Formats: sequence, structure tokens, C-alpha cells
Amino acid sequence: MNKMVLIGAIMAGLLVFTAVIAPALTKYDYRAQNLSERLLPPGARHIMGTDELGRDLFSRMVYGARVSMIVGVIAVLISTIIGLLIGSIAGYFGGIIDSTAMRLVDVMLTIPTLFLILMMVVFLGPSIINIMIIIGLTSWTDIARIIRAEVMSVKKTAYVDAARLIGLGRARIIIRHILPNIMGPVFVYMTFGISGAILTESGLSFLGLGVQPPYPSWGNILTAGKDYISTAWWLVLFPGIAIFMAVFSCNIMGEGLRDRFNPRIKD
Amino acid sequence: MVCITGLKKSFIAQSPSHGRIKAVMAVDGVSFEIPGGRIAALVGESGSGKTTIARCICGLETPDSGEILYNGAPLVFDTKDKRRMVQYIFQDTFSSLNPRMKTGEILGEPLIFHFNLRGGALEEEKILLLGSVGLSGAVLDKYPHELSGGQRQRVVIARALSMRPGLLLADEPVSSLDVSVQAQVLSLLKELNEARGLSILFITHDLRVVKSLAHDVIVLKEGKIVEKGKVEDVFLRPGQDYTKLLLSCVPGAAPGPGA
Amino acid sequence: MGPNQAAIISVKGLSVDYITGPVEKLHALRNVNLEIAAGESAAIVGESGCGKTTLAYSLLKLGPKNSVLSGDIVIDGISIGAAKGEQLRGVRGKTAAMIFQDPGESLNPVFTVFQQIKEAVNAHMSPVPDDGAMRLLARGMLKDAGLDDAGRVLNAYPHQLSGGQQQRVMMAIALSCAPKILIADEPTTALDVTVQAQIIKLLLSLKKEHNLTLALITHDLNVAVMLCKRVVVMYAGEIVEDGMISGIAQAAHPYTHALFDIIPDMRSGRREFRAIPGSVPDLRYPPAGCGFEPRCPRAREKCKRIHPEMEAGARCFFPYETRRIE
Repeated sequence: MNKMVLIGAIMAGLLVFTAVIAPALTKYDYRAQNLSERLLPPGARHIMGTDELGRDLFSRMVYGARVSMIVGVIAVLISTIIGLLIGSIAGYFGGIIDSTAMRLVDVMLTIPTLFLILMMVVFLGPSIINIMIIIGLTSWTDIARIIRAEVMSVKKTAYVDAARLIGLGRARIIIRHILPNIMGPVFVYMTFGISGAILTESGLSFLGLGVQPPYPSWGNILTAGKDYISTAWWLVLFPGIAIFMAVFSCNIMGEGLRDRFNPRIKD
Repeated sequence: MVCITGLKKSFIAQSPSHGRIKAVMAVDGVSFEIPGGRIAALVGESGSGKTTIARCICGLETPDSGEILYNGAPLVFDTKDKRRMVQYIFQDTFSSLNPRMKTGEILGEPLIFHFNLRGGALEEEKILLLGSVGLSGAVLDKYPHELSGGQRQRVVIARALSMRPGLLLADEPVSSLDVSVQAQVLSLLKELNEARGLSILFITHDLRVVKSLAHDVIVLKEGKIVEKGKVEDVFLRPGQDYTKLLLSCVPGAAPGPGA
Repeated sequence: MGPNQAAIISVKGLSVDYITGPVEKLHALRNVNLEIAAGESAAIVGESGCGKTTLAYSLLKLGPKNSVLSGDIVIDGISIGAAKGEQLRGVRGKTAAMIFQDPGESLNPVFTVFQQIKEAVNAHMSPVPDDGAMRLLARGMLKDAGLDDAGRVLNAYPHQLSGGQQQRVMMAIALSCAPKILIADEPTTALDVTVQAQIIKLLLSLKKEHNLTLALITHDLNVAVMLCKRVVVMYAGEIVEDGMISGIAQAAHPYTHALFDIIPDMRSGRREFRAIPGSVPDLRYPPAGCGFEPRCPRAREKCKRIHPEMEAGARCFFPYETRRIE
């Protein structure tokens, strides 16, 4: 296990841990407003300070971590499943099926993703579930292409030929012989996908199109925070660092995994 | 037993020197027979079409034209039983086994698919198969990368044998193995032919092996048959210049200059 | 090698370990001693895992990063272990050139043949010839390597050439700086048999013409004997036999004997295959006695316990009787 994967995994692990035991960590309700304690800097009673409605920032941050985690993981799962379906069918069958699938990918790529996401949110309404699904539905093109390329290359191997020589059906060949051997690059992609999804969700929430108040998301904490940047720096700094850490840990894990899965070049 | 007539197969290839796309005639009208119970060696250099011919016979490629008859009937793999009849052993021992499957599962797959073996009967058959290729049951739990080249090749042979084929196509099965191990695998193939009457089409570029292993030899050059016949005849009295050239180039065929 | 001839390659007590785990080591080479005189040709033969490739690469300090070397290697008077930077580069390519098994992989696919010859010459010659002179030089080298349409080949990219042509180009590049030593790692293994015969012929003539010292690494005994009078046989990381061997009659060590024995004989009517039973020892745990003992038909109790040293050219307590040609 190389260093990068380890560091990334530890950082991500910490974030996940805090998210999971959120209730145990917070003595304040993240929704509890206390207008007499607005905009308090970090101190003994509120370790990250309070926001513009007197809510404890630390509690909101920790629950916000849950949002980021869930959205990140589920959105990526959705996009990976779509990518697997399209990519493996295109890669295995080739010919007209492949061309059609690739044209579909091309069409998806011509539509500006951000615009598409925004449109969908406006039409379907902002909510955590909608956001996960929307992000998942709009980010499968990269993984589909990667899987298609991997499937095409594995298809040429002798062991796939051997499976055909046994007379096994196509589904069995794809599921038992091809897919298990392409998972390396897929895991790498998924890791990067999580950080991308977290960023997208944060962005949407920041714009007010993601998680709606009073539910906290690092992005919507920043929405309010931006107005108080010069006076209540903690409202910007902490969510900013959190987003940075989440994205950084996923990316560094992804880089480490990518190195590990690459065929080693002899010195 | 196997009768091939007028086999032709071409591929679209991009010519490396001109960047033009053109059709390459890999196999250009090849006809020969493999009598039942005999070992025929298909000999040629790279580009001679020998692998393509084998892939056409076992159904991995579809020929452009020509006829392949198995025991008099056209060879079409539309039923499970027909699929079993012709099996293939690859050159690269490493890539012919799924790196994510243990040997036990690799051997089990054809046994379950063709003969519906389960439980105790399945395990028994696996051990028998391993025994017939000289391996012990200990390899069942291992992944391909945990086995040596010679062991892997035997697993490949066991997998092919599990389906009780009538014809075994062996494409340079020992080229990637050490010399001392080659002999072990070749002996095995010979034994399978003698004990079970298994017909083998053995593809190789190494003429040293042909002499000791094969009954018949077919010499290929650039997709066409140059010469064919019984090994003793062709090796002792080669009719064609190309055959003579091949024989003279075999290292050790003539006393070396050893400067 | 006679006592009067100076050794141009001198290997003393060379041991190479590959670090394969936190405490695990693969002892790829164990105390290898080898001397090759200037102008001599020696074939280093053995099967995979015997250490021949490790030995060849160690000569020019080309081992992988996880290898640990101990012992001395001296090439043309220069100690390789101590050599660094400029001095090491001088040995590589100028004193000793190396050609490899797969020419397709060793030639840079994005440069033409001319550009690659130019790069090699520029690295070692001074003053550097100008383009015109370089072309002439390059054409000459390619012609020497048996390439008749040198003009076309010079402007071609490696993938536009056949395997045999690529190997000739490799040899031309290797010889471009007039090295004294040529190390050839399985130069014919990836080639068709007719091309192989041509390359063997070429190697023989180039060797003579340039008075090269040749270290040939191969697993093919027939090829070894065709190119070299002296054969060095390796097994389990050690040299087990070293002498003028041209056939089974000169094979003293049982492993060498077995290697010659199992070659299918083209001329005889023999139809059964002889094999060497067993397999090579795991060099993470080298045996205390003789490495070949478990597979040896002549092995006795002593062989298991005591590690044999080289005696009269063979590392064996019970070698075969031989008819040596000195």
C-alpha cells in the first residue's frame, strides 16, 4: 500500500468517522438558533464559533460531512453503474451497438454539464436525493469510455478466448471473466468521482440549489459565510478547509491507486 | 478426421509504411487433412498464417471461404457437444488463465457447463484431470500467478482435456517455457495422443521438436502450403527449397562454425 | 582463457540480491567469478531464474533499483561498482555495448533509425561529425550490418522494419562507437529461424571484423555452441560449468549434460522426450548443498550437505568423464 493511498485513506477515514458519529460529538442541535449568541468566534463553548443565526458551527459542520459523504458515494455509484452498463456492452459487442453508444456519449458531452445540472435542479426541485441522482446521471461519460476501452482490451486476451472455446454465454463471459479484470481503473475513477461529486454538491448548495436550510451542507454554510467574510472568518474558513480536505484526500487516494494499478515500467 | 479445403482468411490492416488501409491475406487457399489419432505439425515463420488457421478451425475466427469438415460433417459449433470437440492451447501460459480465478474454479467451469457435475463428483473429476497432466490437487487453491510456467501450461491442457475433445490445437505451447520444462509438457502431449488417440495439430516454428513429436508436417509460407507429408519423408527428402532452407537454419542442424 | 591473456571482463565474488519484501531477499547471483579475455567469445547459458540476465545487466550496472550488489566487476580496467556519471557512461556504449532480445522494444519508436544512430554517435564521439558525415557513417554501419537498402532504412521508423532488420539496426547502433565488448542478451530468441540463422552469421562476421569480445546470453545451447567455443553454464544463481564445450561429450556437470541430452535430436530416429524432473530451487531460500542435487541422477548424500566449489571447470563432486578440446 503506497504512501499516497495511505495518507488519503487516513484523512478520508477521519472525515467519514466524524460524519458517522456526528450525534455523539455534538452537544448542540445543529438547528438550534440562539440569536443572542450570533457570530461568536471560536471559543471554549463553541469550538468553531456560531453562525449568523447563533447556531453552533461545529455541529453544522459535522452534519454537513454526512451530506458530502452520502452525496459523494451514491452519485458515484449511480454513474459507475450506468458507465458499466454502457461501457461493457459497447466494448464487448462492438459494431453498431458500440457506435450507437458512443454517439450517445458524444451527445451527453456536448451538453454543458453545469447547465444541465442547474436545469434539472430547477425542474425537479432541490433536495439531497435529487442532487445525488442528477449528479450521477450527468457524470457517467468518462467512466463509460474507460470501461469500454478496458473491456475491448481484455476481450482480446487468451483467457477470454478460452471462455469462448468452452462455449460460455456472453453474459457469463462479461461478468465472470471481463469485469473482474477491469476493476483497477474503475476504482481509481470512482475515487476521483467522489471528490468531483462533493465539489459539485458544495457548489450547488452554495448557489442555493442544493441542500436547503435549515439542513447544513458545507456549501450552504458558505452561502451565508460569504456575507460575513471580513467579520466572521470562521464561517468561511472551516467549511473551506473541510471541502478542501475531502477533495484532497479522495484525489490523493486516487493518484495512489492509479500508480498501483499501472503496469510497472522496468528501470 | 479433420479435412480442410481451400481455407481463406484476410484481415484489414494498416500498412505501417504507407498508412494505407489494405487487406492482408493471412491464409490463402490452404487444404490439408489431419487423420484421426495422429499429431500433425503446422510449421512456419511469423506471418505464415499458422495461428490464423488454428483459430479458424476452432471457431475463434470465421474464414472468408473454404470448408472445414470434422468426421465428414461441416464444423459448426452450434451445440455444446460440438463445441467440446475442438479445443485450443495457447502460447502464453500467463494470459490463457483468468488471473482472478483459482485453478479449482478454472477447471470447474467447463465441467459444470458441459457435464453438470456438482459437489463430490465435481471435485473428484478435478483431481483426476490434474493427475492426468501430472499435477497434484494442491494447485486447486492457487491463482495462476502462484504457479510456475510449466504448471500453468498443464492447467491449460487439463482444462482443454476436461471437455474430452477429439482434436486439440496447440499453438506454440512450449515456446515460452524453459527447455527442461518443455520436454515435460511435450511428453505429456505425446502420451495423450498415444493413450487416448487424441488428434493434435501442433503449431510451432521450432523444427527440432517436430521430428520427435509429430507424425505429419505441413510447411506454411505467407499463407500458402509449401509442402506437406509424413515427417520422416519431408525431413529426410525435402522437396521444396523453402523447406530445405528451414531445415538448414535450425540451430544444431549442422555442426556449428563455433568460432 | 590462457594465463597470458588479459581479462577485459573480470567478475570477482559477485552476489546480487533482489529485495522482494521487508525481510525477504531473492539471491539471484551467488558468488560468481568470471573472467573473459579480450577477443574471446563466451556464451552464458541457463534457464529462467539461473541469473544469466542479472549477470549481464550487472556488468553495465543496469540492475533494477531493488537490487543489491556485492563483489567486484572490472571492465577494461574500470571498476564498475565505483564508476559513476561520466565514467560509467563512457563504459556503456563506448567500451561495452549491449543488444537486447526484443529489438522492437529497445528502439525508440518516435525517432528514425538515422536519428538514433546519430544520438549514439554523439554520445560517445568527439568531435561530433556533422550531418553529412554522419549520414555517410551511418550508411556504412548499416551496410556492415547486412542492410542493403541502407538509404531507406536510415529514414525509416522502427515499426516500418521487420524483426530481422530491427535487430540489424540495433547491432549497427551498438557497434557505432567501436566498442571492445559486445554483450548480447538473447539476440535471436524473438526472431524467426531463418532470420536467426542470418543474425548468427552476422554476429560471427562482425565479431571477427571488429575483434570483439562477445558475451552471449542465451538459453539455446545450439545457438551458444554455434557462436562460441567457450560455454559458461549457470544454474540457481551460480556458475556450474565453464569450459570449451561443443557438445554432450564435453559436458562434465550433470546439469550441462542433461541440457544437451534433452535437446530433441534432428538427426536421430529417437522419438521419446527426455526431461529433467523437478524444478529449480527457490532462490529466496538457497539450498545448503548443491543446487542441482534434487534433480541430479548422480547425486549422493554428500551433495545435499556440502556446497561444491568449482573444480576443473565444473561445480560438482561427481562430474561426468569428458573428452575436452582445448
